Amino acid sequence: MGLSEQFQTPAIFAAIQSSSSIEAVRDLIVQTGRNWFLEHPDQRSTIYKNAHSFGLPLDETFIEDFSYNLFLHYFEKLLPLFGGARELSDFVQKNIDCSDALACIKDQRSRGNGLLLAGAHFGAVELIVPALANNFIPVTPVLKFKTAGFSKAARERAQEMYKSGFFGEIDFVEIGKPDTIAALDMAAVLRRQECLLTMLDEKTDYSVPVTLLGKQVFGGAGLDRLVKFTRANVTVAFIAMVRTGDLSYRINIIPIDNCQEELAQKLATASEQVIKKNPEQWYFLHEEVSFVT
Amino acid sequence: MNALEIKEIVHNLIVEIAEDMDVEAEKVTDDAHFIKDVGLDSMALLEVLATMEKKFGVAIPETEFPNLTTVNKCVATVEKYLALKA
Repeated sequence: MGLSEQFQTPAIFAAIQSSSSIEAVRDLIVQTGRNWFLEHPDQRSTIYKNAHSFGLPLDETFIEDFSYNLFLHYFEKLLPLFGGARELSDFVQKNIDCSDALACIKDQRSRGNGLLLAGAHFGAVELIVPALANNFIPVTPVLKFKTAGFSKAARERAQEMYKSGFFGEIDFVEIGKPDTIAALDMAAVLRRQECLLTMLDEKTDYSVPVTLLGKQVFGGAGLDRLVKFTRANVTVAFIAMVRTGDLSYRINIIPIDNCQEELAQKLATASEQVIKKNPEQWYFLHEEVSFVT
Repeated sequence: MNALEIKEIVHNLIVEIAEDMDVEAEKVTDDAHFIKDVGLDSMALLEVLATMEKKFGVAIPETEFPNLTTVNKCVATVEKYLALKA
């Protein structure tokens, strides 16, 4: 069983729901992750290999920090299962500094621009949507669900959050399903001058070679084409939620020059700025990175 | 511009996009579904939308997006918005 599946068992879901506090949920996930790594020592080789390729530190301290942050990623992903909408809202209000991000988003929307927020496999990306929705920013994440059941559950959860009054509406654009018109749906969000959140480092048929930390990888995920063919005023920005301390976070937004030329590289360069400051939060290192050979 | 002229332009556009994607142009018929029959993806459909809007000077609203699946349906959509513009 892979690390991701390890956290998606009925036993873990039940343990989260019966936890006494958010800290207890975090500790449960971190401990589960540590146990999994002890049983799968070979998994460290992927992290070592990727860290080495990108010229990052290879000492044990880095690997430990990285592993801890990787487990936090799963904690943040599963956090909505704990408590109800009010608890999640309280968590966002108390722990996430959205001030700069909200100012930037509101400024762009007041100019009549759609916002294409491009995130990476970095930091607390899973909390960006709840944080923006908690501030009533219309946000549509682009997601790939493994099963129809996950898709249904996510939509039901988003509806519950909306009905609670603590969150704005959250819609999804689903990719990876046959016969969908995902790119048209994404363009529609941007034409409505809303926020579209998508990943820039997922490899797609439209990814292009970019330089990241001195290495050539596939990037951009076709976002340059999306902007070009949307034919509307779109501001593109790199977005990341950085862990700034124990259960504290800040959203960083780096607007990108609107010119579509070299958009993929500009996004990669913006992500590099954030990664360099907190490489241990770059959980991309845990995956099979698509290097350009 | 009449329906036949619009159809020719739309057909040629789809063929061009299909060829760029290494899809056989013969698959592009009036009623062939762009995704299921021709093998285009949704990004290609977005390119179709953008190019039609530019070429015909119309704005196609998002409620029409699900209809942009065949040459004939695209032609009908363009005709509808050209008529509204006139």
